[in-house]
Amino acid sequence: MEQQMILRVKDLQTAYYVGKRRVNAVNGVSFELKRGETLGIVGESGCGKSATAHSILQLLPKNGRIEGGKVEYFPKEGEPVCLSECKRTGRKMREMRGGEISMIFQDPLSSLNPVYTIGDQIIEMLRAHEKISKKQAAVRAAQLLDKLGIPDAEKRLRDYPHQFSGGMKQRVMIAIAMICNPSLLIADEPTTALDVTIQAQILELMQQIQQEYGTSIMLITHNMGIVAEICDSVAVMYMGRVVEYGSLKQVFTNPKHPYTVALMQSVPVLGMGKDKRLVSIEGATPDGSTVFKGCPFADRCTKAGPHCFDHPPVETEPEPGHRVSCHLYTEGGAAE
Amino acid sequence: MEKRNSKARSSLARRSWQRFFQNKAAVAGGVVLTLILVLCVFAPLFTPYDPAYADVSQKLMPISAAHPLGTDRLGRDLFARLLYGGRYSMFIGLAGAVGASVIGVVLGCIAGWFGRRIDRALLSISELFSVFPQMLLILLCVALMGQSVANMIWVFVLTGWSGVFRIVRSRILSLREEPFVESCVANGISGGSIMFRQLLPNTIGPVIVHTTLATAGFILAEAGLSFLGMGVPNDLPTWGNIINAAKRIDVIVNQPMQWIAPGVAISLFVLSINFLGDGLRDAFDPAQ
Amino acid sequence: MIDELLIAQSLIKYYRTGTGWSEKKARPVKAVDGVSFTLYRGETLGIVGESGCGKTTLGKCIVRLLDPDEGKLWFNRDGETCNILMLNKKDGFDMRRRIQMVFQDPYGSLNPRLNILGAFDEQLRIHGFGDRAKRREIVAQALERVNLQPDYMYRYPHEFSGGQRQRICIARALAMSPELIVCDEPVSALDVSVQAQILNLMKDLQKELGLSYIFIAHDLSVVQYMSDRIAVMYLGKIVETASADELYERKLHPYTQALLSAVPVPVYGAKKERIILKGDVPSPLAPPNGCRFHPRCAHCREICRQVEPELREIGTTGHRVACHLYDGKNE
Repeated sequence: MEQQMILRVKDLQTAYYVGKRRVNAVNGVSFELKRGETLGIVGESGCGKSATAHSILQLLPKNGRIEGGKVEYFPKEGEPVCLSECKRTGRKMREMRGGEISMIFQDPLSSLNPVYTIGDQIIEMLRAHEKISKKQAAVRAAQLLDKLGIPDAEKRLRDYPHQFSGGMKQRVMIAIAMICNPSLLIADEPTTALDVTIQAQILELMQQIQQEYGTSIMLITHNMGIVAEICDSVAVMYMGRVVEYGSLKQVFTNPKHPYTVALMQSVPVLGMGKDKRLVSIEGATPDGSTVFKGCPFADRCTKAGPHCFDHPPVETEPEPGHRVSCHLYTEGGAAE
Repeated sequence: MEKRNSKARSSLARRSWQRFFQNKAAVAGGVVLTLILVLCVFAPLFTPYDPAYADVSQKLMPISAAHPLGTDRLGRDLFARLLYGGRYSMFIGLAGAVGASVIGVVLGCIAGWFGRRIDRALLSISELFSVFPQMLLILLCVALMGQSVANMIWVFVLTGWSGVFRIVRSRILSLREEPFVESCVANGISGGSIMFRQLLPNTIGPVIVHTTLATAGFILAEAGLSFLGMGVPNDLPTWGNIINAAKRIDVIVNQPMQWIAPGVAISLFVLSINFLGDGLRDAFDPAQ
Repeated sequence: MIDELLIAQSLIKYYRTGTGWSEKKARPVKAVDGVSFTLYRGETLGIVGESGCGKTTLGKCIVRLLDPDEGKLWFNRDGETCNILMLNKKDGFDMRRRIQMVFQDPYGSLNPRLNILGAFDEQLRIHGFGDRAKRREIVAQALERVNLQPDYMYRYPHEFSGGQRQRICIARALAMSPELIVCDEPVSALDVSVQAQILNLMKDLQKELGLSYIFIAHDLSVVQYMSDRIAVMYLGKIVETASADELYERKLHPYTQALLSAVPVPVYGAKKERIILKGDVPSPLAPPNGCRFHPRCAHCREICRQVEPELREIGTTGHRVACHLYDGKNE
């Protein structure tokens, strides 16, 4: 293996319990992330992309449970850590969170505590993981904010979240996530709440961080465009399953799964003709508690055959590193 | 066409009822409440006695087949007094709560919809009513207007509307910003119609709960006032008056049934109505 | 044949901030500050800009949810042009039928306590669409037009998905047989695969019924796909307007250039030169002097700080831009 692996998720299963209903949010998800690379996880709302991220750090709500599979983290030095076997509130898990793996969330407005200054919140994070004096911590925080493009960083440490704009708050969130120099950054829809020009700033910033610190990034988004711009590999998720997985080039130039194909053709692209019709996926995403006998995408798929409704698809690898879960690529699949 | 129409139209209500029937405490509350209601409303069917008829020869009788709860110092049948008294108590509580809710809903709609000066004025008035000690206000009103069932109800309506008013006002204030309201405005639908046809149904859940709870509260308040001798006239057998009549120390010790029975009646009624109110709120919450 | 349906002439809408006694002292938010455009019948005018640029306020002024402080809105009403801001009560009421609006949030757009028929019924009744049976027929037709079953009219909003709700909202507008539909971010709350359904539907309806749209959105690729003409707004002003193709091929204003380059393209290897703007959109409470874009502009010159550029025609294609870079160029 030429490149070191940093995270390996194997057959992860996570379920939420709502009353008596069981919702399989994550249903056998597997992927790997190499050190210094960016993995994009794309899918529509309810496809389990956020649940996957939360499972990795065991940040699931009380009614959520990891029911199977393995999440392995490979630190720079030392033994691999099996995150899925750590206790949810155990010491090991807390050390991992923020120290080795940190996370930034979609909504920068509600992710910051309004009654503490920005400086307090960054410093607290740093002091939770490192033995360092408050003064030193403040210096490091100011340095980082400055690097992240916040002018007057030293003064702004004393400001409260409401004194920052949306884009600036997301920068602060990134600062909190990056202050302990984690090896892996999980970004859950980091730019969805922001304007396009601000989104461009934040994406640029994340790429810059990656180059400088060699951080691996797991980017969760619904926007294929963002994936194409900054990711190295892609996992397309639908109904808690990874339906297609591969390098950016493989997935974007040679998409195999009908869902991936439709997803890419359903968004208008700048400069495309007005007369060109968008490919729409009929129907709506099924309810999370639905149990599928066959392929979960079958009833919205234009290429589905009778086989697709009765048998769950098996993952195949049409080219090295490019995996698809679709009967079109198994022998005697949908063609029957 | 018409038939299918009515069937489909009731689907929201039917779902709500289904949810309601899954809530055991609420159903139990409903059953007990219905039982008390039936007993009181059809009192003549359950007891042969006149609650006001004093038969001195029969005074302070113990529990017996003829007098299921015994008789009081004047020889009046306690069970009959309890049933007939329930009529008054419930009527006062219910009329007070419904009246207060109607005023609160109408003023709340107006304040929430028009906002600005009207809102500020109505809010100040409601604050005035709620910062003034309620018991004092009630005592004042009773002192000014005299003791009667009607006055009692008026006092409750006047002091009770501000709670519903604030619930409705804040709901309307937030609903006003919803796009479906903007759509109505953009189509030229009048303010009155939007207020009462579009917005009001959206506030009805909390209002129902508040009304049921207020009913219970007013029955307690009536009992309290009657106990202090400031409630309805003594000759009317409300639950409060019955307890009031039993507040002599020798009665408390020697004829415990005289105060236990009306006390239990009040507690049962208030408890069951609270359970029912909670159940109704959960069942009619459109968010579910 | 092209004829104008709606012409906006220097529309202005300021919000007064603050309450009570401080009302007079407070500075107004200049949400829409002198906006002019022309919409042709059967066409789509796209209005694009970031949050706070005043595009939603502009939309609400057109359907008269808000009254502009100044300016004129000329509407071609059965061949005769009238300023819809100055109509008498009866004609103004009729205009409300002709201009409909579809909102961003499909969940808040339908009253949760009314079934679909109930949501449509009152507006049809007060606009004189006939008796109950007739109105029900209109609702059924409108639902069929957006590919929903007519008997969905007896269902309640919570029984529908986001995409279906947005169809219902479009049907509610269609039921009024409007001439113009103002769509404020109609797909931004929907999933990608459902967005395509709604966009396709809107295009089909436009072809069938000859509707005109004002399509307001922040997503330039969606606006570009839907619109014939595009107006780019920044801090309450239109900075550039051109036909959709022209705007893509020959973007002139530095803000338009940055906006276009910031849109991520879902194509492998399309990594192009991104223009990253500095800083945030300034508060519309205190817009910068001169050109409102100058603090973030890479081409800022002295004149930009002092003189506000006017929207002027460049070339002959109806391409108008408000930028000093093009001062004195082929007027």
